[in-house]
Amino acid sequence: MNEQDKRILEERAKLQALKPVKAIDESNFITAVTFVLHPEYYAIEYTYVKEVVTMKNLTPLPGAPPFVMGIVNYRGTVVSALNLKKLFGLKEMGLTEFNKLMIVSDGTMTMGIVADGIEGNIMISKSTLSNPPVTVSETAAELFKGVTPDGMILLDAGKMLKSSKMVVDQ
Amino acid sequence: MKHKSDEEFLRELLNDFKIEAAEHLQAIVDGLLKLEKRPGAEIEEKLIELVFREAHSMKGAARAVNLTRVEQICMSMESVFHEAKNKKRALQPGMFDLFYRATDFLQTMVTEIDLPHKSISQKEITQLTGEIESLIKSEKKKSGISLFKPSIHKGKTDKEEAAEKRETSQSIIEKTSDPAPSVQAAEALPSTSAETIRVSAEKLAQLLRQAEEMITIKTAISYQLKQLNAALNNGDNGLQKIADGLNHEKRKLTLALDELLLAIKKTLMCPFTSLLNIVPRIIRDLGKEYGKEIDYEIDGGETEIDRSILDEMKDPLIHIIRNCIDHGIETRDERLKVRKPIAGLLKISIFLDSDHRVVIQISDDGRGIDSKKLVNAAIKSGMIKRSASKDLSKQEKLMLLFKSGVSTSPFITDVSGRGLGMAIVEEKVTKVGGSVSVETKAGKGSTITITLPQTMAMFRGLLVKASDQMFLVQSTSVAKVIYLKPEDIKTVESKKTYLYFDESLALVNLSDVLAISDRRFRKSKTYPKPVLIIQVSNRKIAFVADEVLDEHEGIVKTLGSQLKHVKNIAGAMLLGDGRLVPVLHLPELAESAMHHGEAVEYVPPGGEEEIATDQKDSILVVEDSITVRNVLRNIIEASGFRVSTAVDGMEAYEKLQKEAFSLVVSDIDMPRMNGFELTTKIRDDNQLTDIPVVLVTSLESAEDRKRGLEAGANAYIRKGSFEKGNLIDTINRLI
Repeated sequence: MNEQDKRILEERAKLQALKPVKAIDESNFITAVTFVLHPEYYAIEYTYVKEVVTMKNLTPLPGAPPFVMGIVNYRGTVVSALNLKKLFGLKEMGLTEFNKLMIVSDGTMTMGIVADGIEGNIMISKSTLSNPPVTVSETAAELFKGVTPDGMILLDAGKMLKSSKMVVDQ
Repeated sequence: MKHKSDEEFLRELLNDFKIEAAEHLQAIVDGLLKLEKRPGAEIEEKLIELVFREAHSMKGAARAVNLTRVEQICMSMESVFHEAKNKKRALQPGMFDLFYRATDFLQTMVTEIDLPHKSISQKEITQLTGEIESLIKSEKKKSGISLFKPSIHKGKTDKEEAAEKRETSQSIIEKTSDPAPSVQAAEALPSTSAETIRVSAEKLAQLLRQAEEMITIKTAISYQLKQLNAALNNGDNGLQKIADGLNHEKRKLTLALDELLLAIKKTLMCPFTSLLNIVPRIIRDLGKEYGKEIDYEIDGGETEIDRSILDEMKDPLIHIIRNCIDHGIETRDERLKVRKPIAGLLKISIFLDSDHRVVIQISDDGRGIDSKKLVNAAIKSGMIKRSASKDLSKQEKLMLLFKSGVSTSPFITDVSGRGLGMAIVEEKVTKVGGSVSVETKAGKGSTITITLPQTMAMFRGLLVKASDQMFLVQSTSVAKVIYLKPEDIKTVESKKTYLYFDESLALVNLSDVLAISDRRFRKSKTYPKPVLIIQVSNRKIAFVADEVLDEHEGIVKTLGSQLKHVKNIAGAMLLGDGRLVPVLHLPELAESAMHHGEAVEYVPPGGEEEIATDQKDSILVVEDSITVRNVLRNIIEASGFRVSTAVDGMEAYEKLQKEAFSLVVSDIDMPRMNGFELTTKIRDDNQLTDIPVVLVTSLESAEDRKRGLEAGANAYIRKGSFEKGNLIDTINRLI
């Protein structure tokens, strides 16, 4: 590497390093956990996600609505494992793993959401969210908070946990 | 995981408020009940002070959590009692209903704190507080020292009043020298309850859950042991030591676990008083409703019992008290005739028997239970056959009281006479592992005795395989497990049955009832197939399973907050190997089995069933409000009846002349001819006199019920309660 190249690189590095970090106003952002429901990407507010576990020993419940895949033991309590695709009336496509369980809770209501995989955390700017497409079902539209510019669907966990539609009482 | 959000913080605050508010409310209601009995000026003064203070504290607490509606009501109560306290106005018997309405409102509002839906509107609250506050405005006059004395002595001179004051205070001295009122005085003061620590039930429940999880460890070790033993049998001697060690551990763990569970269960026990607190109010309200005067005695409230059992006892207690007051205790006139004190006596006593079981005895000094009437009612409802009734013992006859649909009351209202209340008693008591019995003496009264375990027993269940899935069936409900051969199956009317002793039982496939038979499961197991003879109340059903494995012991967990109730499933239990197994809800399963095409009880050829299907009963609905008329029409038509309508009694009577109806459902308040008049007319008409009449009204008072009864109505239903199936049940009973 010659001197000139080195200088150029150093300058470039300096330029990059000095770039002021823009202060983020947290109130405009939502921290969310992203997950896969093959082939789509979803996000759910971080505050409601208690834990992500690998699902084993799922017990199906005869007679429960289709979106209830069954129940699992989560630290001594029974938690239901829900298939959101069935709930939203979305088509299930291809082979999926469906072995990750997100324990979602607001303190009163606790449910498990089944996913193909967990991607990680992201910050979503509220202002960039757009309305869900009009083609989704009514239930889905109610529980979607919005869609990010790259097409990820942000769920309204707070609403979902409070919605009477989610509760099975036969 | 994270620091608490504001929302969480607020929820915690509201939870605290809920607990606090419940205490204030109970104190207010207690105070009001005692005040209403007019225990004498001195005690009244103390009680007024108490109600005032409690209302004030509750107001403050409500303000702190920003519940303005609760605050408003408390404030209006507070101001009335403030005036009463300062003797600026007198409390009068007529005001108490208003006060109770206020406490009812508060009760509802407190329970609905977390719910988005509020059943009480701001308008209703404004109206209520207006009414309460108008008590002050309309009566800001001086009154005597007795806080109850109506203010008739307006315009008396100060001298006269002073003289009167002396007089009353003298009478107080006389009164207090009398031993009886001093007892009352002690009762009036807030009770010094036994030393308690306030721990939230949720935290304790959590502790219990943790202890319960240890059971899983225990069973896990047992499971490992089993595996180890299997290995040993294969000849590996070195493992023997491990097995011994594990065995030792298991014994230690079992002991520690049992102790821990017991200790925690004891912490979760609470005295009966928390349930009995509601009794005085219930007796007062029911006494008023039925126009009967009732005295009561309660003792043994300090007896402790598992909170979860106590919670289940609330409904049974209310139903029994209602039954005593409605059916047991005679009317005033009857009591006078047989020279009993005018006021009926209701006794509730609670104690521990020698086996450490909790006994609740509820007795009345009424007319006793007429077992003949019971038997007749049971025959009428199809519960037993007339021929079989002769073989019943006296106790068996009395026990019919607890069978659903048996009611001796000729008159059905939405709260009594349906024969459901006492059936609920038996259901709830058996659910927690208790039993119920009844004794009676004609003319002297009757006693209902409930015996309960002090703590919840461990669940024992049979592990059963249906199709490809495991289920648990409560062991105590399984009368027998038999192995079925194809020739044991009898077909009656195209339904499969099994002859068990001399009973012909419906034979159903467990996997069919649970609708899991279509799963990809190779039905390798052929005959003999295991059959569980399951007994639910007094009905037996034979369920065919694919395999019956072993028995398990443990705790039945709820299905979690999202699954409040799933049909046929009561909960789930964790097995040693980590599997979660659904526990079947047998009463529901029996119900499902009956509705499941395969299983219909044996009906002899030429039975009555066919007639009912093609001839729909037609019902006349009489109601002036178009909304209510349509609601009624929809509800009744949805149950398979034909409905005609009339806008008032006059039109209804005309229609009845022209067309045949099986039953009349009528409103009371209507133009031209009201419901009472219509009922009277129907009864006076030779052609119509047998038609059942159900009165539907927004009013619910003893007076109205009496008028309805006199006119000849068969049932009385309150508006707003009929969508719950009340109305249809009643119609079905009467047709």
